[in-house]
Amino acid sequence: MSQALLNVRDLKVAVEEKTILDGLNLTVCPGEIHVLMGPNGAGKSTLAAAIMGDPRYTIEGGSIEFDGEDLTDKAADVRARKGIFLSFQTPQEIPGVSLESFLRTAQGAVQGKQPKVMTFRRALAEKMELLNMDAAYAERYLNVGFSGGEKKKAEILQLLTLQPKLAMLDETDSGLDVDAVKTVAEGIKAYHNENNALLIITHNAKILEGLDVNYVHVLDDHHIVYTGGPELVEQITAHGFAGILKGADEHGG
Amino acid sequence: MNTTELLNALPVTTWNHLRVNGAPKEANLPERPESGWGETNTAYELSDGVRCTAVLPQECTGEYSGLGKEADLRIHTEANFSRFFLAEGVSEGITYLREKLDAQHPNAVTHTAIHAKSGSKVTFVQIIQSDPEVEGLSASLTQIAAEPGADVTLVQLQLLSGKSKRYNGVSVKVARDARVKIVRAELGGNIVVTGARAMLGKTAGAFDLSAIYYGDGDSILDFNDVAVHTGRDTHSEMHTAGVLADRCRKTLRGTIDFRRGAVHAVGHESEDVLLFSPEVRHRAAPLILCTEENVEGQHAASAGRLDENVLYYLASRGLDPQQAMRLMVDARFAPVVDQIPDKVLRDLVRASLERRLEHAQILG
Ligand SMILES: Nc1ncnc2c1ncn2[C@@H]1O[C@H](COP(=O)(O)OP(=O)(O)OP(=O)(O)O)[C@@H](O)[C@H]1O
Ligand SMILES: [Mg+2]
Repeated sequence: MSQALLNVRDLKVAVEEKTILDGLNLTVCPGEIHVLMGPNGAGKSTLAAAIMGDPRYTIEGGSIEFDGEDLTDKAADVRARKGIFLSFQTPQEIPGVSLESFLRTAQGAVQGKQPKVMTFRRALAEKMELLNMDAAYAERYLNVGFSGGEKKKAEILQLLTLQPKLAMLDETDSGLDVDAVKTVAEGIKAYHNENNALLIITHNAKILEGLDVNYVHVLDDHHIVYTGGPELVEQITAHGFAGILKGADEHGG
Repeated sequence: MNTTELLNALPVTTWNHLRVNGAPKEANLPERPESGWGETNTAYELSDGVRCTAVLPQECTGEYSGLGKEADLRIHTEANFSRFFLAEGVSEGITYLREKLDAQHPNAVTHTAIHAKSGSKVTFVQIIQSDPEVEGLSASLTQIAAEPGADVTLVQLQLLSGKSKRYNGVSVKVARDARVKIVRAELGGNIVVTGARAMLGKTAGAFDLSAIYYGDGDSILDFNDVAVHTGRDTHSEMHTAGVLADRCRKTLRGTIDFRRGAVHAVGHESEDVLLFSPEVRHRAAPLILCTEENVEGQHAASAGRLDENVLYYLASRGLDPQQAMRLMVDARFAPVVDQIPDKVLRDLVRASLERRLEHAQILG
């Protein structure tokens, strides 16, 4: 077995003094695709935020190890430079900063040196084409006036540009039309290889089409209550969480 | 000579309780220094269509800058460098006025007049710089007259050391169908007193001011920008973006004065300030005066800290707090910096900002 990329141990996370996650364990190895499901409000976004290092979430216990290093107390920008990426459920709008200059700055920050303008532009144009994005969007202020779907595509464009070791996608498929979900799935496929890993939060099987999912986790009651294979996705989308959660209870969680 | 008049005075003194009627005493125009003069620290380059004249054109006089009549008169009489320009025809080039204060020549008082003849189009760029440690004084008065249909752009780039004093008065007269545009960056100095005042006396004249400022340390920044509308269909746009750090004290007065006769005049003003520290003192006195009723006047103001959601988003993309701060300052200033008509100068301004921001701190 290869060395784990992400190792979350006994994690306890609170926001505004309310415990959202407790006793959560998760291991992700390079090359793997993990899917995280669970009822609304279960704490899926909270887990992604805690792994990314959102300062609004307090880690009250446990540890987050990444690529052999303990990142539990590290700031988000340090984690990002180590190779953690989060595609946000609601991406920020940044007036005054064009998508292109933002991506170039971010790539420079993550790789430690500013990419050459022409090489960068060419690569960016290719990725935008893959994602069916109008080239003119490179000049537009980041996410300002973008539709919900366009914002999600811009997140995947960032994923493709920054090439992180671990990509967490928080409901990147929600609010996307049928074709856009396909396009985004293409983008994810283009990103994935044996050296990186994905943690995909979704309520929907569509985005997983064409991806070799290794594990599906169900988050409820503050931690992961059930882990299964890709067949679980179909089961949950067809019958809901009730059956699985009940089964999990019987197994003692 | 002693100044008795308030510097940068608000056109109507109704704001007494807020102490924004004029620049604070500490910011008064100092006595003319005995030494430290010399024309070696000032220079100019003419573009096609622009020539110098020996006498101050009458057309440029008769009005005053935002600094006020007395300050204008002092700068006029005490100037060690006076240049009067006449613009004819359409010129795509740029006339440069450079000022560089150094240890031997820390002082410069300059008087510039620009007379743009009917139908002419010209761009002037004033670059005010100093060596890093200079305790300089730069005082300037710029008087612009745009005759019918003329189009004048004045770019003012002030990149002085953090120990210099800066006084910048601009008076503008706009004739029928003429347009005067000022792009202003006040990025240095520990005392900065700046006031542009435009008289829009004739039909369809337009005045446009796009300004940025950066203040840190214990500096005092004081702005007094005025658009006076008396002509029909006149138009003014005055928009400022600023960043304040440390214990900087800043006041910005922005007045749109619609006087009788300014039928269908339109005036908009705004200020958008980013605050890096709770010890900053930020005062804004937007004022819209109406003696003519058939007008449209509007002001908008916003002041705030960097949004923590935005900072987290930038962090999640690998930007450390310093990089995130720089990006957000760039974002704020970009619309003005992008209007500087010369890449070398744009880079100069960006580099100067970069140096300032190296020492900047965001305090809770
Ligand atoms: N910043 C916050 N302030 C207060 N409460 C929060 C905050 N973030 C999350 N919570 C609470 O934590 C719980 C988990 O929220 P979270 O967003 O992680 O759920 P989720 O599983 O992602 O749900 P969904 O499927 O609806 O996206 C919810 O009860 C939510 O109200
Ligand atoms: Mg969520």
